[in-house]
Amino acid sequence: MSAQKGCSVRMLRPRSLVTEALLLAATSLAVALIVISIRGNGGLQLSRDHFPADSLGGPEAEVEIGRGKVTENGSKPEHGYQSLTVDDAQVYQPYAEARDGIVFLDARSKKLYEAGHIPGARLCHHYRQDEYLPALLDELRAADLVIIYCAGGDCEDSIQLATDLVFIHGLSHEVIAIYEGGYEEWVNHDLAVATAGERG
Amino acid sequence: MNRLLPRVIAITLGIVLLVYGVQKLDEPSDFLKSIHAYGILPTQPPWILNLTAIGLPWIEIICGLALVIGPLRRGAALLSAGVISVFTTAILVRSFQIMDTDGTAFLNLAFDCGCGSGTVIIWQKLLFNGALIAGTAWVAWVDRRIQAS
Repeated sequence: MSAQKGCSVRMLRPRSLVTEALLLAATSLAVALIVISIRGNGGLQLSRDHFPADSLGGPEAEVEIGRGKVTENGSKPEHGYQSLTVDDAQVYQPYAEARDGIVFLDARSKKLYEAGHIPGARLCHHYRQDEYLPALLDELRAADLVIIYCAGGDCEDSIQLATDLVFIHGLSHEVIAIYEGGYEEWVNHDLAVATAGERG
Repeated sequence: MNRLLPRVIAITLGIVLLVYGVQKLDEPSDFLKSIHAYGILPTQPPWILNLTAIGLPWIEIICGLALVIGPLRRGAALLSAGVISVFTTAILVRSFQIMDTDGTAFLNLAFDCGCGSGTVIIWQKLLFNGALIAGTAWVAWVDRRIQAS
């Protein structure tokens, strides 16, 4: 073998703009998947349907009790659960605080819950429900009424959590109620709130 | 000067992207909800929405790092311009939907666009994104000319 052949150096062709972009996109996705496999990703799992109220209904479906329906792509789903006003929520809240057959579920994040929640409400962040539900399920199944709320306004986490409770965990839709005004409305009515460290 | 200016702009854009990416990692479910609210991606199969919510912040972080540090800068600029363009189009479409539904005037529109900075005034956000797209596209173009010369 000649020395010339042995020492030959192949010139690397410069990468094209698109190749560089694709390389970066692939690297980013690989890093993202490695990170979620190591430390989780805020409760998000690749295969889990976090918006069950959308998929269980569908644009053409009729609104049924306990089944969501998307009226417009991306909008808050209609639902067939009982809907409570702030006055209703006020009536039920003392029973929840006394653990007397009524359970308030706060579907917001732990950070928001600790900053302030309806007294007596139990934390069950919709996107991390695997962490909270095992300790709550017996109580929820025994409850006469489970009232779910989130931030209010366009927030639909309460509806999504309700749908998981009915369709995955087997609760009857008749014991589920949504307080649609949510925490925002509760605070706007100057009602009592509890923060982290306080009972409830 | 010809070589310095694109680098300064690339580093500035890179830092902006890094900040946006890291902010989205703080509470991934918030970003997922924002993407879902746009109604552009299907909810079935679920991995499409989930992978987008998990992957996009890392695209911003990796592109931000590449723009700041240097290797693959042109590709990072192109990819960033593409991602920001898609986002900006989605913001524009949602703006028109809200204007159509609520009758809100364009200049009064404000919502959480999922950009990592909470509720924003939309016309300002669109202008800012326009500047980001122009900046990243310019870096991709100019950096190539510098490397070719």
